[in-house]
Amino acid sequence: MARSSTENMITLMSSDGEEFMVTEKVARECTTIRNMLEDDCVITNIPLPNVTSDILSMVIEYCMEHVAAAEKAAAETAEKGSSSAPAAAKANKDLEEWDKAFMNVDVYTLCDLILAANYLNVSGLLDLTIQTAANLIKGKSPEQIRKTFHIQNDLSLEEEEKIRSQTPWAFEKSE
Amino acid sequence: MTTCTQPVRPNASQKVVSYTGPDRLSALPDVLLYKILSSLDPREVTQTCILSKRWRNLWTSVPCLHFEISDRTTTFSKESCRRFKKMVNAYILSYEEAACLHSFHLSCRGRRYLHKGIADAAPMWIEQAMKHKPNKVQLNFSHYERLRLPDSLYLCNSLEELYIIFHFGVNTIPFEPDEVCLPKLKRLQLRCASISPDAMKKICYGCPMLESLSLENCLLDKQDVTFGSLKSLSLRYCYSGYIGFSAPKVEYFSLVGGRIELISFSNLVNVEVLELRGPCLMDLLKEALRDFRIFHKLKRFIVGDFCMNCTSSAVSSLLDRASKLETLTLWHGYCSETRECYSGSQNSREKVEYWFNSQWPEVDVELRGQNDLPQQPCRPKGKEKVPSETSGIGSEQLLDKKYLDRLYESEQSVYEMLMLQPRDTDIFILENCDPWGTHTGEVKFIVNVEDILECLKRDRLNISILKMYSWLWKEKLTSEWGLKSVIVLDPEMVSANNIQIDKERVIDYLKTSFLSVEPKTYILFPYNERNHWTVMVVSLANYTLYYANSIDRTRRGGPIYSIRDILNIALKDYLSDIKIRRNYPTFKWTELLCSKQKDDFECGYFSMLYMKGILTAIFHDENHVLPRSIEPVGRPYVEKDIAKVVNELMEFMKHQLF
Repeated sequence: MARSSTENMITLMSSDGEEFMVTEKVARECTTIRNMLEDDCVITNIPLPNVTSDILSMVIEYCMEHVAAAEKAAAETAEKGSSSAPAAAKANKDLEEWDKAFMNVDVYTLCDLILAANYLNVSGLLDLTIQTAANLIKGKSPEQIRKTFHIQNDLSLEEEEKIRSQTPWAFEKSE
Repeated sequence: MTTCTQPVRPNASQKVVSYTGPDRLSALPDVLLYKILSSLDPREVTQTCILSKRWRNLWTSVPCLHFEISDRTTTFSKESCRRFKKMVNAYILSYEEAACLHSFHLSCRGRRYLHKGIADAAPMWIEQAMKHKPNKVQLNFSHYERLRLPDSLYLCNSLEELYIIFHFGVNTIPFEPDEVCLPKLKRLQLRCASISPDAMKKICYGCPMLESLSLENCLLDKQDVTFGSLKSLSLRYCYSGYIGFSAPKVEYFSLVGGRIELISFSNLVNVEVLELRGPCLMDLLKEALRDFRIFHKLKRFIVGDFCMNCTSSAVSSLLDRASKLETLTLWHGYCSETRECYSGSQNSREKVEYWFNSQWPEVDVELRGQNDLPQQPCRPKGKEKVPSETSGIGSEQLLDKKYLDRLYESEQSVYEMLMLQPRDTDIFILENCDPWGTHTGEVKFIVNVEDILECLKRDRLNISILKMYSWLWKEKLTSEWGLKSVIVLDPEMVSANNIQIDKERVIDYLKTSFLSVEPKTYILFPYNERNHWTVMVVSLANYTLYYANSIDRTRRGGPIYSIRDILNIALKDYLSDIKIRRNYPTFKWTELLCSKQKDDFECGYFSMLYMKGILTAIFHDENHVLPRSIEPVGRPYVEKDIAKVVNELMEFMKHQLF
């Protein structure tokens, strides 16, 4: 699928110096970049000192997928006059599936993605990563959470007991 | 141009292999950790306090608190209630003083008796939460009619969204704040509240920024207010006399169901989405069309009760005045004029589409209603009545399938029939059927589907159910037994709600009923006040009112009913009509001995059983005299007794509805 040549290309530079060329539309998915573009419309090269190249490539991948999905939906609406509900529902489901597969990453990458999504202000990706992190905590005992996220327990046994005794209701066994 | 690197995704499958490295999660800034914690259950959030020093106090400042308990989950028990109360108490009190609460959500659903402690503590929790200046507060409660929400809820300069959602079916609790001062409030939703004109004025003046107002199942006394900033106004299943809302900026206006005498459309000309789906559609349409108003911004028009023969001309003249209209949605079921079922056969569907398309080719026509029968019998919809702007708020969780199966076993047929109804059926309107003849032309007999489901699952009973049951007895007395010494009144007419709306009408109804019978006749009616059902029997022969109350008077401070004065006035009017002039007597109240309830939700079923007991006893008595006690006195009714009357009622309903 050939993109129109008139579309502006933006170069994003990661903290380790790698450059990624993306269409303006994709770059605009990041609110932080959108604001920069709105302040100064001739800008074409944006350094992103807080994001490493492998994380940036993932963020771009996410943005591209979501822009493509939105474009597809818009094209269908324009073609048929009105979008049919089942088709839209299916497209939504496909995108959800894609998101789910996209979130198949280790916790290290997940945390970096959270930071990057927050920094670049990609609300969809931020919600997705936050929810994924929350799901990893859900239903786990504190010990399991520590293991999942490699959290070093720097509380002494006495301290931990003390904290537990202050919030006994949280640790009561259910039924 | 520099070389362009295609985004290459690091090989995910490689990375899934267990990684042992630094703790990235704890390194995230607080604000992001709060976001993660905000979507967890409060108990889980608290448990993170022993993860490490970093996590020790995070839980005390999480900006979104969501406490929820419901008896519709499998883990519900008295014990879980007790733990819930303890948890909320402890959490709220440990909450960091300086922390900013973004949203506070408290949802307590279910049978009240288990929740007594919660109902008592809830105002304190809300009070505490309000100290942290929240932006959004959502409260869901069911069956707490005595709950008094703290004043601080209505005096908050940070609040932007407030949802007070009570689940009482058609019953309401008064919304009576002393003062309202919510300068930033943008969205307000109230459900099952009775709002006096005075309270509405307080909302109006106290919320200058209000953009969205949604009232559901509310009782609105005659209102006449202006909301200057309002953009969205939704009235769903509201009951009222005259409503004059003036909202010049309103873009979205929706009126669904309920019974509203007359709504003034002045200043609704800027509306972009207009939804009219009420039982008095034609009146609404006529009002909308008055003075040749032009709806120059209208994009979407949704009409309920559409009928090709009767409503189409009014709809089309509205279409002629809406040049920007894009979508027209027509719901059909019953014709609002002839009150006949409009059969949405394929033929007429095509006819409707053709007719609209030929005249307004630029408008998309959508037909909804009877043809939208679900392919598979669907689960009960709970409160998911119609997609609203604020959908999701106050929506009930679907019940566990197994639980439902067990519940509906005995009434399978009615349940199945309900499931086969079109998705948009929330109420049944029985046409040409007005057992008491109390409605002048307009509304006939309305049964709420939700009420039927509540009845089936042994929850609290609403007026539509007791009205149906009274109708059953009215039929039985006249057609089957031919018993003339007792009559059954329409419980809706004499309800406390109706007394609030239109006192004169209730008095008149009672007086007329008195006049229509021999003085020796007993006049029986179930009476609902403040969510509690009792059965009343009027005896004109000795000016006595006998009542059967399923709750000990000691527990409720005795029967103080608003019907007391009304009955006395009706009696006075009646006596002066039949020209008895002396010191006008007042009714003497006498309690009938009866079985007492154990649970707090059972009064409706008990009242049904009382009615049955009283009427059967009168019928079998030689002289048709009212008994002073209703059998069995010593013990409460058991599940079997209740199941029996419910079954009887369901049989009757099946007969009438389907």
